[in-house]
Amino acid sequence: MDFGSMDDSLSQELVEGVRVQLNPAPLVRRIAALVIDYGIVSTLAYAVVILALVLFAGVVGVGLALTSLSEKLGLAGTVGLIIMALLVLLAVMAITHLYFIMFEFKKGQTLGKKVFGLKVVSLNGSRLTFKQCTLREVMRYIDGFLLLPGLISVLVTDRKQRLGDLLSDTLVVWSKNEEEAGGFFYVKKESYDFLINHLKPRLAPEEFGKNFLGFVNQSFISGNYSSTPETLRFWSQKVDDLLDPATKDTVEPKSKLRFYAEFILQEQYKAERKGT
Amino acid sequence: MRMSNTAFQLKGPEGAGGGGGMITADAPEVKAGGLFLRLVAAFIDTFILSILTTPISLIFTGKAQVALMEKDMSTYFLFLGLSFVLGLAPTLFYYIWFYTKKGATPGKLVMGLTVVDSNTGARLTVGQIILREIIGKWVFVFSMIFLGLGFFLAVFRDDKRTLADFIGGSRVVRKF
Repeated sequence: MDFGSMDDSLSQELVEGVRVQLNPAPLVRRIAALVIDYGIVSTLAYAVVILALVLFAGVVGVGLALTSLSEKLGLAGTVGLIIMALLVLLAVMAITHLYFIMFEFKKGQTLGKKVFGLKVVSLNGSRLTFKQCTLREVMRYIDGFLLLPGLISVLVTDRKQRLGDLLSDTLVVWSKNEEEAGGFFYVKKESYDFLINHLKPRLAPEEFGKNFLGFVNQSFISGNYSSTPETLRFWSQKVDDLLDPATKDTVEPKSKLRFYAEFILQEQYKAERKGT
Repeated sequence: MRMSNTAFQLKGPEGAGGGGGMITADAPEVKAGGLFLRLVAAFIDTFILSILTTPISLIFTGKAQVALMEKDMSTYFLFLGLSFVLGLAPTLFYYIWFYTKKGATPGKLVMGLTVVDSNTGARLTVGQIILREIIGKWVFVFSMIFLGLGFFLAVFRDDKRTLADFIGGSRVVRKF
């Protein structure tokens, strides 16, 4: 399956004189993000529908209890049902559209886009305006008509824009870095990227890695076991042997242990990605 | 130059070199994933999966119904089986792909949760995922019959591990 590669990047002149390397989002990722977004939206919509049904049943129940003439309630009940159905439809539409518009306006990405490292950017380099977000959202009706117009548009334009993107001068970009940022456990990605160049670690044997991860996890994360100064010194020494001797003393010992644990994990993921 | 919304900015490590002392790594605070967040995540996952599997099961159960009306029992069971298998395949793919590549399903990612190996903090292996999601959740269903013991195990534990977590050797964490 083509989940895209960094090679199809496109140099964009977003700000005059400054060229930024941006990757138009691969189609598969955009579809996957959309499926996630609709999953979230339908969860919210479901909650609204259930709430409305409970409310309606409550109102009808009270109505029946108060009026002994239950047969007279027939017409009122039908009218009430229609009004409720319209209100629910309105609420569901509001949830759907506000979800997309507000997330893109405030954060530049919906939650589904965030999962896949996608972001909506404006072609002129400025922040997305409310108008752009709304236009993108309204155009979803046309782009999604039998799935065709949007699909064709993404396939034929070299910035992979759907009609809504073209009209509102926006572009969906993908950053592999951003996507992988969530996969860090012992240290945050920013710190990791800095420390990996700073400490230049070497990979340890597999058996060592397993024991070491167990130690760091127990003493820093799950808190089942507090490390004694002796065990701390023991593992610090082992890790120091695998780091650049010139810089190993500039980093705080516990940070160093956390970093090395993250290094083992990241190398493990990298090997798995190559294997499959 | 306004770039904040146009490109992903590269942030320097917070606290790196700060204060003139030793460099410290910025580490996420890891807490046990609460049951309410996990319930919401499960809801979201169910809806996402239903988007993927409903068309498949509609087509095949529809064909099965037609076969049933024509009293063609072998075709009926064939399509019923196909509907089950083809509905299960996307579900399995979903769990395995997301757990191995991202450490969590989309529902969990949205709620800020990650599933990790309880010993090492690494992502789950395929074997662990199958143990947790298939065998673990099956046991879970049976334990639900007996007052939801597997689920309520988490209520009494600080690390919020359920029976499925024990079977898969996993734990659910929330990273801040």
